[in-house]
Amino acid sequence: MDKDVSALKRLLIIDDDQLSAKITEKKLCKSGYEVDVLNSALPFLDELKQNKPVNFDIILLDVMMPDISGFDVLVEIRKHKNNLELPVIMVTSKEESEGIVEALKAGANDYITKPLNLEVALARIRTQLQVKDLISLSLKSKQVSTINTMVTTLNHEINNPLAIAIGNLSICKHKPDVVRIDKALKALDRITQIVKKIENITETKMEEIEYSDSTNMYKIK
Amino acid sequence: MMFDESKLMSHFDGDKEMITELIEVFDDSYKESLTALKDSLKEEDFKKIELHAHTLKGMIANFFAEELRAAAYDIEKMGHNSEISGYESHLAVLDEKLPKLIAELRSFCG
Repeated sequence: MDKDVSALKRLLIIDDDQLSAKITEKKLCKSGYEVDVLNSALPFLDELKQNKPVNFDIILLDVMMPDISGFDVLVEIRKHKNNLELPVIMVTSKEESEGIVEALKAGANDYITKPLNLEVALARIRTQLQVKDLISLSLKSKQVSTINTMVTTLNHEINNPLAIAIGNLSICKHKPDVVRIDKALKALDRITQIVKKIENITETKMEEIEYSDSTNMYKIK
Repeated sequence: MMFDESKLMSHFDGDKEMITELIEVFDDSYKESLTALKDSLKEEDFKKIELHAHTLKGMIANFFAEELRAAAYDIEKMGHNSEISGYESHLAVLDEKLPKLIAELRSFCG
Protein backbone atom coordinates (compact mmCIF):
# COMPACT_ATOMS: atom_id res chain seq x y z
CA MET A 1 0.00 0.00 0.00
CA ASP A 2 1.21 3.49 -0.81
CA LYS A 3 1.21 5.13 2.62
CA ASP A 4 1.88 8.61 1.21
CA VAL A 5 -1.33 8.57 -0.76
CA SER A 6 -3.66 6.77 1.65
CA ALA A 7 -2.43 8.49 4.83
CA LEU A 8 -5.30 10.47 6.31
CA LYS A 9 -7.28 10.22 3.09
CA ARG A 10 -10.99 10.29 3.70
CA LEU A 11 -13.26 8.34 1.47
CA LEU A 12 -17.06 8.49 1.20
CA ILE A 13 -19.07 5.49 0.05
CA ILE A 14 -22.59 6.27 -1.18
CA ASP A 15 -24.50 3.03 -1.67
CA ASP A 16 -28.06 2.07 -0.72
CA ASP A 17 -26.99 -1.58 -0.41
CA GLN A 18 -25.89 -1.72 3.23
CA LEU A 19 -24.14 -5.03 2.83
CA SER A 20 -22.02 -4.04 -0.16
CA ALA A 21 -21.23 -0.70 1.47
CA LYS A 22 -20.19 -2.47 4.66
CA ILE A 23 -17.91 -4.85 2.77
CA THR A 24 -16.29 -2.00 0.86
CA GLU A 25 -15.90 0.01 4.07
CA LYS A 26 -14.23 -2.88 5.90
CA LYS A 27 -11.84 -3.62 3.06
CA LEU A 28 -10.79 -0.02 2.60
CA CYS A 29 -10.43 0.60 6.34
CA LYS A 30 -8.16 -2.42 6.46
CA SER A 31 -6.08 -0.77 3.72
CA GLY A 32 -5.57 2.40 5.75
CA TYR A 33 -8.31 4.71 4.53
CA GLU A 34 -10.72 6.62 6.72
CA VAL A 35 -14.13 5.65 5.41
CA ASP A 36 -17.62 7.10 5.85
CA VAL A 37 -20.76 5.44 4.49
CA LEU A 38 -24.04 6.99 3.42
CA ASN A 39 -26.91 4.75 2.31
CA SER A 40 -28.55 7.72 0.60
CA ALA A 41 -26.92 10.58 -1.30
CA LEU A 42 -29.51 13.14 -0.22
CA PRO A 43 -27.84 14.36 3.04
CA PHE A 44 -24.56 14.84 1.18
CA LEU A 45 -26.23 16.73 -1.66
CA ASP A 46 -28.03 18.99 0.83
CA GLU A 47 -24.71 19.96 2.39
CA LEU A 48 -23.16 20.47 -1.02
CA LYS A 49 -25.99 22.80 -2.09
CA GLN A 50 -25.52 24.80 1.10
CA ASN A 51 -21.83 25.20 0.16
CA LYS A 52 -20.71 23.44 3.32
CA PRO A 53 -17.09 22.24 3.15
CA VAL A 54 -16.60 18.76 1.71
CA ASN A 55 -14.40 16.74 4.03
CA PHE A 56 -13.77 13.86 1.65
CA ASP A 57 -10.89 13.30 -0.73
CA ILE A 58 -12.77 10.91 -2.99
CA ILE A 59 -16.23 9.39 -3.39
CA LEU A 60 -17.26 5.87 -4.37
CA LEU A 61 -20.73 6.32 -5.81
CA ASP A 62 -23.16 3.50 -6.51
CA VAL A 63 -24.99 3.91 -9.82
CA MET A 64 -28.35 2.36 -9.04
CA MET A 65 -30.05 3.73 -5.94
CA PRO A 66 -33.73 4.21 -5.06
CA ASP A 67 -34.15 7.87 -4.09
CA ILE A 68 -31.78 9.38 -6.65
CA SER A 69 -29.59 7.62 -9.21
CA GLY A 70 -25.83 7.74 -8.93
CA PHE A 71 -25.74 9.44 -12.30
CA ASP A 72 -27.98 12.29 -11.07
CA VAL A 73 -25.89 12.58 -7.91
CA LEU A 74 -22.77 12.89 -10.05
CA VAL A 75 -24.31 15.66 -12.18
CA GLU A 76 -25.22 17.55 -8.99
CA ILE A 77 -21.73 17.10 -7.52
CA ARG A 78 -20.13 18.42 -10.69
CA LYS A 79 -22.16 21.64 -10.41
CA HIS A 80 -20.16 22.37 -7.25
CA LYS A 81 -16.87 20.46 -7.51
CA ASN A 82 -14.88 19.60 -10.61
CA ASN A 83 -13.24 16.21 -11.12
CA LEU A 84 -9.90 17.42 -9.78
CA GLU A 85 -11.36 18.94 -6.62
CA LEU A 86 -13.46 15.90 -5.80
CA PRO A 87 -12.79 12.67 -7.69
CA VAL A 88 -15.80 10.38 -8.05
CA ILE A 89 -15.48 6.69 -8.87
CA MET A 90 -18.72 5.10 -10.00
CA VAL A 91 -19.54 1.66 -8.62
CA THR A 92 -21.58 -0.52 -10.94
CA SER A 93 -22.58 -4.11 -11.33
CA LYS A 94 -20.83 -5.88 -14.18
CA GLU A 95 -24.05 -5.77 -16.26
CA GLU A 96 -24.31 -1.97 -16.15
CA SER A 97 -21.52 -1.14 -18.58
CA GLU A 98 -23.85 0.78 -20.90
CA GLY A 99 -24.12 3.65 -18.44
CA ILE A 100 -20.39 3.96 -17.85
CA VAL A 101 -19.55 6.08 -20.89
CA GLU A 102 -22.38 8.43 -20.00
CA ALA A 103 -21.08 8.72 -16.44
CA LEU A 104 -17.51 9.35 -17.58
CA LYS A 105 -18.77 12.07 -19.93
CA ALA A 106 -20.69 13.63 -17.04
CA GLY A 107 -17.49 13.91 -15.01
CA ALA A 108 -16.92 10.58 -13.29
CA ASN A 109 -13.20 10.00 -12.83
CA ASP A 110 -13.34 6.23 -13.15
CA TYR A 111 -15.50 3.21 -12.37
CA ILE A 112 -15.25 -0.12 -10.59
CA THR A 113 -17.55 -3.12 -10.62
CA LYS A 114 -19.23 -5.08 -7.85
CA PRO A 115 -18.35 -7.35 -6.17
CA LEU A 116 -15.40 -5.13 -5.46
CA ASN A 117 -11.99 -6.48 -6.38
CA LEU A 118 -9.87 -4.90 -3.67
CA GLU A 119 -6.66 -4.69 -5.70
CA VAL A 120 -8.43 -3.04 -8.63
CA ALA A 121 -10.36 -0.68 -6.36
CA LEU A 122 -7.25 0.35 -4.43
CA ALA A 123 -5.28 0.94 -7.61
CA ARG A 124 -8.00 3.15 -9.05
CA ILE A 125 -8.55 5.08 -5.82
CA ARG A 126 -4.81 5.58 -5.43
CA THR A 127 -4.46 6.83 -9.02
CA GLN A 128 -7.19 9.43 -8.55
CA LEU A 129 -5.73 10.60 -5.25
CA GLN A 130 -2.25 10.87 -6.75
CA VAL A 131 -3.57 12.97 -9.64
CA LYS A 132 -5.47 15.18 -7.19
CA ASP A 133 -2.37 15.65 -5.01
CA LEU A 134 -0.16 16.44 -8.00
CA ILE A 135 -2.59 19.04 -9.35
CA SER A 136 -2.91 20.57 -5.89
CA LEU A 137 0.89 20.75 -5.53
CA SER A 138 1.24 22.24 -8.99
CA LEU A 139 -1.35 24.94 -8.21
CA LYS A 140 0.37 25.80 -4.93
CA SER A 141 3.71 26.00 -6.72
CA LYS A 142 2.17 28.28 -9.37
CA GLN A 143 0.74 30.53 -6.65
CA VAL A 144 4.14 30.84 -4.91
CA SER A 145 5.79 31.56 -8.26
CA THR A 146 3.22 34.28 -9.02
CA ILE A 147 3.80 35.94 -5.64
CA ASN A 148 7.59 35.85 -6.18
CA THR A 149 7.17 37.39 -9.61
CA MET A 150 4.95 40.16 -8.20
CA VAL A 151 7.49 40.92 -5.46
CA THR A 152 10.28 41.14 -8.04
CA THR A 153 8.11 43.40 -10.19
CA LEU A 154 7.37 45.77 -7.32
CA ASN A 155 11.01 45.87 -6.29
CA HIS A 156 12.14 46.62 -9.80
CA GLU A 157 9.46 49.15 -10.74
CA ILE A 158 9.59 51.12 -7.49
CA ASN A 159 13.20 50.72 -6.33
CA ASN A 160 14.75 52.18 -9.49
CA PRO A 161 12.89 55.51 -9.55
CA LEU A 162 13.12 55.66 -5.74
CA ALA A 163 16.92 55.36 -5.94
CA ILE A 164 16.98 58.15 -8.55
CA ALA A 165 14.84 60.42 -6.34
CA ILE A 166 16.88 59.74 -3.18
CA GLY A 167 20.20 60.19 -5.01
CA ASN A 168 19.24 63.53 -6.55
CA LEU A 169 17.63 64.89 -3.37
CA SER A 170 20.68 63.86 -1.28
CA ILE A 171 22.94 65.93 -3.52
CA CYS A 172 20.50 68.84 -3.34
CA LYS A 173 20.76 68.85 0.46
CA HIS A 174 24.29 70.23 0.13
CA LYS A 175 23.94 72.05 -3.15
CA PRO A 176 20.44 72.95 -4.36
CA ASP A 177 20.06 72.21 -8.07
CA VAL A 178 16.80 72.78 -9.98
CA VAL A 179 17.69 70.14 -12.58
CA ARG A 180 18.26 67.48 -9.90
CA ILE A 181 15.06 68.45 -8.05
CA ASP A 182 13.20 68.12 -11.34
CA LYS A 183 14.75 64.64 -11.89
CA ALA A 184 13.71 63.62 -8.35
CA LEU A 185 10.16 64.87 -8.91
CA LYS A 186 9.95 62.96 -12.22
CA ALA A 187 11.14 59.81 -10.48
CA LEU A 188 8.55 60.25 -7.69
CA ASP A 189 5.90 60.90 -10.32
CA ARG A 190 6.94 57.63 -11.99
CA ILE A 191 6.34 55.82 -8.68
CA THR A 192 2.90 57.45 -8.35
CA GLN A 193 2.01 56.27 -11.87
CA ILE A 194 3.21 52.73 -11.13
CA VAL A 195 1.15 52.56 -7.96
CA LYS A 196 -1.91 53.72 -9.95
CA LYS A 197 -1.20 51.09 -12.62
CA ILE A 198 -0.89 48.40 -9.97
CA GLU A 199 -4.28 49.44 -8.55
CA ASN A 200 -5.88 48.90 -11.96
CA ILE A 201 -3.81 45.94 -13.00
CA THR A 202 -5.35 43.09 -14.96
CA GLU A 203 -3.80 40.01 -16.43
CA THR A 204 -3.99 41.45 -19.97
CA LYS A 205 -1.83 44.41 -18.96
CA MET A 206 1.00 42.20 -17.73
CA GLU A 207 3.63 40.24 -19.56
CA GLU A 208 5.87 37.83 -17.67
CA ILE A 209 9.50 38.32 -18.63
CA GLU A 210 12.80 36.94 -17.34
CA TYR A 211 14.36 39.21 -14.73
CA SER A 212 17.38 37.13 -13.81
CA ASP A 213 18.47 33.50 -14.27
CA SER A 214 16.13 32.29 -11.56
CA THR A 215 13.54 35.04 -11.31
CA ASN A 216 10.78 36.33 -13.53
CA MET A 217 8.92 39.60 -13.27
CA TYR A 218 5.83 41.16 -14.81
CA LYS A 219 6.34 43.90 -17.33
CA ILE A 220 3.47 46.32 -16.69
CA LYS A 221 2.17 47.57 -20.04
CA MET B 1 -22.40 -25.79 -1.87
CA MET B 2 -24.51 -22.93 -3.18
CA PHE B 3 -21.57 -20.58 -3.20
CA ASP B 4 -18.06 -20.66 -4.63
CA GLU B 5 -15.94 -21.32 -1.60
CA SER B 6 -12.59 -20.46 -3.16
CA LYS B 7 -13.83 -17.18 -4.65
CA LEU B 8 -15.41 -16.25 -1.32
CA MET B 9 -12.20 -16.92 0.62
CA SER B 10 -10.11 -15.08 -1.92
CA HIS B 11 -12.52 -12.11 -1.94
CA PHE B 12 -12.27 -11.74 1.83
CA ASP B 13 -8.61 -12.70 2.15
CA GLY B 14 -9.63 -15.79 4.12
CA ASP B 15 -11.01 -13.60 6.90
CA LYS B 16 -13.81 -15.82 8.25
CA GLU B 17 -14.45 -13.43 11.12
CA MET B 18 -15.28 -10.69 8.65
CA ILE B 19 -17.44 -13.06 6.58
CA THR B 20 -19.35 -14.11 9.72
CA GLU B 21 -20.07 -10.49 10.57
CA LEU B 22 -21.23 -9.80 7.03
CA ILE B 23 -23.49 -12.88 6.93
CA GLU B 24 -25.48 -11.29 9.76
CA VAL B 25 -25.81 -8.02 7.81
CA PHE B 26 -26.79 -10.07 4.74
CA ASP B 27 -29.42 -11.99 6.74
CA ASP B 28 -31.10 -8.75 7.82
CA SER B 29 -30.74 -6.90 4.51
CA TYR B 30 -31.84 -9.61 2.09
CA LYS B 31 -35.15 -10.15 3.91
CA GLU B 32 -35.93 -6.46 3.61
CA SER B 33 -35.04 -6.40 -0.10
CA LEU B 34 -36.89 -9.63 -0.86
CA THR B 35 -40.05 -8.34 0.81
CA ALA B 36 -39.75 -5.06 -1.12
CA LEU B 37 -39.25 -7.04 -4.33
CA LYS B 38 -42.34 -9.17 -3.71
CA ASP B 39 -44.40 -6.04 -3.00
CA SER B 40 -43.23 -4.34 -6.17
CA LEU B 41 -43.98 -7.51 -8.20
CA LYS B 42 -47.52 -7.53 -6.82
CA GLU B 43 -47.90 -3.86 -7.70
CA GLU B 44 -46.22 -4.43 -11.09
CA ASP B 45 -44.06 -1.39 -10.40
CA PHE B 46 -41.36 -2.14 -12.96
CA LYS B 47 -38.92 0.51 -11.82
CA LYS B 48 -39.03 -0.77 -8.23
CA ILE B 49 -38.84 -4.39 -9.42
CA GLU B 50 -35.64 -3.58 -11.29
CA LEU B 51 -34.21 -1.68 -8.35
CA HIS B 52 -34.96 -4.22 -5.61
CA ALA B 53 -33.86 -7.17 -7.74
CA HIS B 54 -30.69 -5.25 -8.54
CA THR B 55 -29.97 -4.62 -4.86
CA LEU B 56 -30.60 -8.27 -4.04
CA LYS B 57 -28.35 -9.34 -6.90
CA GLY B 58 -25.57 -7.11 -5.59
CA MET B 59 -25.85 -8.56 -2.08
CA ILE B 60 -25.80 -12.16 -3.31
CA ALA B 61 -22.86 -11.46 -5.62
CA ASN B 62 -20.73 -10.69 -2.56
CA PHE B 63 -21.02 -14.34 -1.57
CA PHE B 64 -20.52 -15.81 -5.05
CA ALA B 65 -23.79 -17.76 -5.11
CA GLU B 66 -24.21 -17.79 -8.87
CA GLU B 67 -27.58 -19.55 -9.21
CA LEU B 68 -29.22 -17.10 -6.83
CA ARG B 69 -27.47 -14.11 -8.38
CA ALA B 70 -28.72 -15.20 -11.81
CA ALA B 71 -32.29 -15.53 -10.50
CA ALA B 72 -32.19 -12.00 -9.10
CA TYR B 73 -30.67 -10.71 -12.32
CA ASP B 74 -33.41 -12.38 -14.39
CA ILE B 75 -36.05 -10.52 -12.38
CA GLU B 76 -34.03 -7.29 -12.65
CA LYS B 77 -34.03 -7.62 -16.46
CA MET B 78 -37.78 -8.30 -16.41
CA GLY B 79 -38.31 -5.07 -14.49
CA HIS B 80 -36.04 -3.21 -16.85
CA ASN B 81 -37.97 -4.49 -19.86
CA SER B 82 -41.36 -3.96 -18.14
CA GLU B 83 -42.25 -7.59 -18.84
CA ILE B 84 -42.53 -9.81 -15.80
CA SER B 85 -44.38 -12.88 -17.05
CA GLY B 86 -42.77 -16.01 -15.62
CA TYR B 87 -41.06 -14.24 -12.72
CA GLU B 88 -42.51 -16.78 -10.26
CA SER B 89 -39.89 -19.45 -10.93
CA HIS B 90 -37.03 -17.01 -10.36
CA LEU B 91 -38.66 -15.68 -7.22
CA ALA B 92 -39.15 -19.22 -5.95
CA VAL B 93 -35.41 -19.86 -6.31
CA LEU B 94 -34.69 -16.80 -4.19
CA ASP B 95 -37.40 -17.53 -1.67
CA GLU B 96 -36.35 -21.13 -1.11
CA LYS B 97 -32.60 -20.92 -1.45
CA LEU B 98 -31.63 -17.67 0.25
CA PRO B 99 -32.25 -19.08 3.77
CA LYS B 100 -30.31 -22.19 2.74
CA LEU B 101 -27.45 -20.03 1.50
CA ILE B 102 -27.30 -18.20 4.83
CA ALA B 103 -27.27 -21.55 6.66
CA GLU B 104 -24.50 -22.90 4.43
CA LEU B 105 -22.43 -19.76 4.88
CA ARG B 106 -22.82 -19.93 8.66
CA SER B 107 -21.84 -23.56 8.68
CA PHE B 108 -18.84 -22.84 6.45
CA CYS B 109 -17.58 -20.15 8.80
CA GLY B 110 -18.11 -22.46 11.76
